[in-house]
Amino acid sequence: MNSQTGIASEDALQRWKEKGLRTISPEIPKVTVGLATCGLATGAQAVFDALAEEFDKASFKAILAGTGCVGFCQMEPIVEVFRPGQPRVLYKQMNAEKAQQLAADIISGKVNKPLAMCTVDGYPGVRPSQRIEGVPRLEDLPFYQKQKKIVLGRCGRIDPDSLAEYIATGGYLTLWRVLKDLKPNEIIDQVERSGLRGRGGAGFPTGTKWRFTRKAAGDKKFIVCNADEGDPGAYMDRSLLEGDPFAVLEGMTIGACAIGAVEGFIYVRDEYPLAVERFQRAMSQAREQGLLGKNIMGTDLCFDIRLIRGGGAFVCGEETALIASIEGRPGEPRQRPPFPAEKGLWGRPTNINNVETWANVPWILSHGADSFRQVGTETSKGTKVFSIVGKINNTGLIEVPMGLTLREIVYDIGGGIPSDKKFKAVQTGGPSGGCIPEQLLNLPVDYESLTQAGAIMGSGGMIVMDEDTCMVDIARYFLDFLKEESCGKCTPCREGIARALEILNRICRGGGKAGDIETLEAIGRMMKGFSLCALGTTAPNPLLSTIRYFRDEYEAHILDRRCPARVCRELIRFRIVADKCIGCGACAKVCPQKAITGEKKKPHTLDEGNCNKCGMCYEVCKETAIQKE
Amino acid sequence: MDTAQIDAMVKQHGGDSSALVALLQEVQKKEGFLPRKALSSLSQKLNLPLSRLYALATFYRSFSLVPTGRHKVCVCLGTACHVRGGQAILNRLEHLLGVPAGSTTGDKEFTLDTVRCLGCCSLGPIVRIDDEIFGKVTQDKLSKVLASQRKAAETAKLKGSSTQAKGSKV
Repeated sequence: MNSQTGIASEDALQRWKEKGLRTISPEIPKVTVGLATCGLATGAQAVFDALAEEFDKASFKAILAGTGCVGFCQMEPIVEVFRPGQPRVLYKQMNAEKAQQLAADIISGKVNKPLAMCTVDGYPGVRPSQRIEGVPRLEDLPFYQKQKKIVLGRCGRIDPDSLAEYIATGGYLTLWRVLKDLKPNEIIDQVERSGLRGRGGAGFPTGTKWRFTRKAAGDKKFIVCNADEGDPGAYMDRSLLEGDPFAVLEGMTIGACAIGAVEGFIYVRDEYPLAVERFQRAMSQAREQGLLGKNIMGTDLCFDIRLIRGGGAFVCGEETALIASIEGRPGEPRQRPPFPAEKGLWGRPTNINNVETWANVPWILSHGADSFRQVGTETSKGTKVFSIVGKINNTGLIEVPMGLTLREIVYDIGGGIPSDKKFKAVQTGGPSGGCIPEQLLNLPVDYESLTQAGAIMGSGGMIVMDEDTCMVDIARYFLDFLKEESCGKCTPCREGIARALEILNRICRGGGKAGDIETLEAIGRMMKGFSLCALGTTAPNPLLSTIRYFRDEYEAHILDRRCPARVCRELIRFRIVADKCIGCGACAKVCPQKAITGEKKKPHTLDEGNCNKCGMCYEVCKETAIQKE
Repeated sequence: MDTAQIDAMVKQHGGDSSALVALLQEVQKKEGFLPRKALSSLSQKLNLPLSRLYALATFYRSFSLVPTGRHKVCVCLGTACHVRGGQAILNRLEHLLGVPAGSTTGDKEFTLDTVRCLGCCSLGPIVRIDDEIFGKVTQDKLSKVLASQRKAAETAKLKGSSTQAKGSKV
C-alpha cells in the first residue's frame, strides 16, 4: 500500500493502461454480457451461462466477461462480441436459446445479422472499428443519435471491476496530473468555470459549494457522495456505480484534494446491492494500488472513503437528513443555515454532491472547463443523464446535452408512445417535480425552464404518461408516497400532505366537492412557503402542476364524477363485450370476487354488483373483450 | 443471535454511533427481522438506551420488528411501475397469496411487501423475490413465477433442507 507498490508515476499508469488494453482488445475473441441490475432482471445471467457452456463444449478459446449497462434497457440483455481485427457488434434482446445460436456463429466467425443491433466503435483511446454491411452503427440508431456521453461513456463498455480497463480508457491520469500540477484553489477554479451544477436536483454551482467548504474553518473536513437515489423512476446513480465506479471514486478523490477533506462517505440506497458490491470492490482495488488511503499516488494527499448503506428512507436524500443518518440517527432534516459547508457531519465542514456530479469531475479536469462549457445552454452547462421510462417505446438511460427539448427526448430518442396512444405528460423530478403537458414539449431541458414550468430537473427521472394515465391519480400517487416518506418533524409538510391526500382520495372515490381544487392550491402554497426542508417545499409540485395543466381532469372527477383516463376505480365500471368474448375463462379464473361466470367457449357475464373493480380481468383478457367505461 | 455474535459484530463495525444502522442491518439480514433480544444485547453492549435503537428501527423502512416469511416478495410501486400497472400486479399477488401487502402468509412461506422503486424502471412493472428481480411482469408470468417458487419450497421441505424456519423467539 505504500508508494513503491502502488501506482505513483506516469510509467506505472502506462503499464496499467497496456494491461487494460489487452483485455479490452485481446488477441482472442471477447464476448461481454451486460450484467447490471436491468440486464440481470431480463435474464442476462442465463445468457452468460449459455455462452459459457457452448464455448466450453466446443473448447473455444474466448474471454467471456460482464459489464455495466449501455443504457438501451429496452434491448437488454445485450451482448457485445469482439473478434480481433473485426468490428465490435452488439446483439440485442438475447435469451439462452439465442445465445446458443450466437455462440455457434461466434465460434465459426460469423456475424449473426438478424440478432445484431449495431456495431459499436472502440473506446476512448482505442481505434474505431470498421463497418459491417447491413448492420447500423450505434451512433446512427435514433436512440443514440442525439446523445453525448461525458459521464456514461464507459458504462456498458468496460468491466466495472477492472481498474486496468478504467485506466486504459483515460482513468486516473487526471488525478495524477491534478496532484502534480494543480493547487487546490486551481482545481476549484476549473470546476467553477466549467459551470457544473449539482446533478442531484437543486442545481447549485458545484465549484462554489466546494469553495465554501474549502474556506470554512474546521480541524477536519468531510466530503460525501449522495447515492441515496430515491426519486422513483430515476436510476442513473445506480447505473453509474454499477457501470463505472472508479470514475466516481476518482471524482471524489479530486474533490478531497481541492476541498482539503481527509475522509469521505458514500451513502448508497439499500435497494442497490449490486452498486454497493461494485463500489466496494473498486475501493479495495484503489486502496491496494495506493489510489485511496495514505499518500495517494505517492503524494501528501491522504483520503479514504467509508460506504454507508441507507436504511430505506426517501428523506435521507436531503443533505441534512443524510448527515443525521450517517451519524446514526433517524434521518430528520434540520434548519439551514448553517449549511453543511460550515457545519455538516459531526459539526464539521462537509461537502455533499451526488453521484453524477462527482462523475463529471474527472472529465472536466481532463478536457478542461472550456470544453465542458461548450456543451449545454447559457445557464446549464454540460450534459444530463435521464432515465426515460413509463409509456415510451425506447426505455433506457440517456445522456444528452442540456437544452435539448422534451420533444426530442420523447420522440426522437424515446421513439414516441407505444400502441399509438396519445402522449399526455412527462413527469420530471420525482415526488418533488411536476407533470409537463404536451403544449410544453418544445421546452428546452435546463434547470430554469423546468422550474418555470412548475417541475424541476431533479435527479433526471422522466416518466412518460399516455392517455391511460389519470393525472388526479398521479397527484394522489405522489402524495401517498410522500405521506410515508415525510419525516413528520415539521407541521406544514406532515399535515399538508395528509390533508391534501385526504381530499384527493375523496375526489378519486367520487366524493369531490366544489372548492376542493382551491383548497388543494391553498394547502400547496402553504407547504411551499413554510416547510422546513426541500422535501416539504417541493412536495406540492406534483399536485400544483397537475392542477395547472390538467384542471379539466380534476373538474371531470369532481363535477361529473368521471375519470377520463378510466383509472379511478370508483368512477368506472367494467363490462364484458359478448361479441368479443371467446369464453376462455381467463377472467373468471383471476376474479377474486368470483363475479365472472360462464360456460367454456361461451361469452361470460360479469355481476357488476359483486365486482370490486380490481381490473385483473381487464389485464388478463387477450381478446380485449373486457372494457372499462 | 447470541451475545458472542453481537460482540463480534460490534467489533467488526466499530461501536461508534455511525455504525448503528449498519449493525441493525446485519441483525436484520441474519434474523430476517430485529428480535427484541438482539436489540437488548446490542443496547447493553453499546451502552445506549434501547429507545435509541427502537427509533432507528421504526424510522427506516428496511427494518422489521416482526418475523418475516422465508421468501420476500416485493412489488415495485415506483412511478414508472405505477403507470405500467404495478398496482394491478400487487392486487393479483394479494389475491394469490391471500394476504395484504405488508404481511406474511400463514405458512410463513412468503412476506408480501411493496417498495418505491428498485431502479429498474425501464423494465416495469417489477417484482423482486428475495434477491432476484423480475422485469416486465405480466399477470400470466406472475402465477408461473410464484408456482415455481412454491414448488421449490415444497421440494426443499420434503428434502428437509436448510430453508426450514429459523427460531423466531421475540
